Amino acid sequence: MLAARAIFAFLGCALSVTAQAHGFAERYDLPVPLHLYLAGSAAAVALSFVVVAYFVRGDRTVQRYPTFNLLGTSAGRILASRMVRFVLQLFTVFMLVLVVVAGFIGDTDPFKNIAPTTVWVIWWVGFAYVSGMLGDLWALLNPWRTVFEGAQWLFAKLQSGKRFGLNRDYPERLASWPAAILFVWFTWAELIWPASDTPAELAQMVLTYSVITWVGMFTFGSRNWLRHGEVFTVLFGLLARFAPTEYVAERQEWNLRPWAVGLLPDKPMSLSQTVFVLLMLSSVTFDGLLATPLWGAIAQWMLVSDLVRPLILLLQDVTGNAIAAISTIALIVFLVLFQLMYAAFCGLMYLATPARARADLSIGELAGLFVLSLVPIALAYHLAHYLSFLLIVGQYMIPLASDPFGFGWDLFGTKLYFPNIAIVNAKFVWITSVIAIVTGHIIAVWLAHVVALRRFRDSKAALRSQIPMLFLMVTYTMLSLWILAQPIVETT
Amino acid sequence: MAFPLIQTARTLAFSTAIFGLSLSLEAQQQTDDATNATVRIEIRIENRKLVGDQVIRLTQGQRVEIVWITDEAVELHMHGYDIRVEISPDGPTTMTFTAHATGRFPVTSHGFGDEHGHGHDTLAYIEIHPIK
Repeated sequence: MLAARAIFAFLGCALSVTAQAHGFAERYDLPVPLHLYLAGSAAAVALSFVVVAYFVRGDRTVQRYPTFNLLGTSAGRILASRMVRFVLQLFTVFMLVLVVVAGFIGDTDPFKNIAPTTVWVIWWVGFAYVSGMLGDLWALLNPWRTVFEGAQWLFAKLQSGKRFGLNRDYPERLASWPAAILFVWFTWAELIWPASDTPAELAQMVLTYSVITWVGMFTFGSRNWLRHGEVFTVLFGLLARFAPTEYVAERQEWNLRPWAVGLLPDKPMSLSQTVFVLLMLSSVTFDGLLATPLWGAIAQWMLVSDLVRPLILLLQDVTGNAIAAISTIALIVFLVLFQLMYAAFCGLMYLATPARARADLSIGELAGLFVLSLVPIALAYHLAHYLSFLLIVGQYMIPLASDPFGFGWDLFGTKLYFPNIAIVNAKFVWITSVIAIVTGHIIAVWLAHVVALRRFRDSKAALRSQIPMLFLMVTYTMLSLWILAQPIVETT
Repeated sequence: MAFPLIQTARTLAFSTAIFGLSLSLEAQQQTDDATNATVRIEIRIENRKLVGDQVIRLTQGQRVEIVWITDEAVELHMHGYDIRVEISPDGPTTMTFTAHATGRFPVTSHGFGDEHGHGHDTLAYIEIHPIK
């Protein structure tokens, strides 16, 4: 009897470890209640009309916006000083090394190893917040860039006159496709990969990505690769277009600026850039969909469907298990559908705009012109979706800072800290989420109208062009709100 | 004129912050007032499933006693609150806690008679709602 009990206790321990391996950390969000969901949706629709009405009343093109140069203040100069930058850059390089080392030599429990929390919570979720709310800090702190340019500098010192790297011309045809492809890989790893929270596997992935990045930089030069192939430079840079700061290299200015004006493009985005933005938007939504009961029902259907089963059997060896195979299929279908949906709406916009106003713009150019205006909706959804997660799971960094490898260290005396799950009240999260999403929506509608007015000149034509866009935005916003109003379930 | 939106956004952000802050303070206040109430719930597990609704709804601040009755020995884990109990058909086991944090917390079963440890399943969700 006693022996049986001991075995049971032992099993209990072993099992709790496996239980934690289901996706990295959980979200404990309560679904947004129906009345808030309805109020948010109604506000989104009503305020859309307010924005439209505002534009009806004449010329609102906004060619210039006010800025304030932070380098004109002493605090700004200190923040932007070489010393501060260097310390921060050193810190992010240190974190990169720490993640890889911890992943390989540290504890295998994802909560006792600093790698998963650093990568998935602090860096992925946290840095997206920082980029959207503060500015493009990643451009400055990117550890891959720091290491590469450090090597470049060292090489120039040792072998004076010679250039580091192959410095091939970047093939124009490749455009931003490398970043788009790597982004799909990253999204898959984040949302579906069963081993995403296994420290050693994660470290392996970070290392693989590092090698890809450095090879890209070595071949085409760091600037070229950062612009076209380094996913996170492209991604965080995109989010930072919303942020209220900008760096103007030619005038050496670091400016405060109004929110979201960075999302007003001077010219249409290229096809690969447009696809990248849409991938970003759709992956954020897909992340939310995976936790809804609707997804549970679809997964159930796919599992028994004769149509899909052969595909699942084919994929599950590659992806790890059947549910990952199903999710992979769904991810690809969703990403593609989202692109097609946007293309269809751009087609409608093309038809809705009088030919004389749109001049020689093609559907593709229209798509590239308006795609950035959707970013605030995705950013707002990201903020809402991850708010309590970041605040709760982010706290794991406190004990992990003291014991990054799970060796039992206590560097800062915080080893025993346990995250406080009561740090945010659900009511606060609900209201912040709904307000964020409605605000994101209004900004999106506003941006699209400004772009239309700038391009089409004639304000009547601009307004007509925006009818399909408005439909798309309302739908997208409603979808975001709907997901937040769904109870979170885990599909296993 | 050019950027009324900035003004609006600023006002919105500010009022959100104030509103949110007051809400959380208010919730805190009410939590303190409501701590006296004790809620006792009996939950029955049969054939490795919950009898009745899978979602258990509670209100923040309540003192909760969940009495588990089962037809098979199993270990339960309430995530978030991180409470573990071993229950068995020999008699009911009570899980006691104060619902201080809002949220939706899965209760998973570990090792339903499964010696190899594959029996990890979400048995129930305990939703702790903020005070109205």
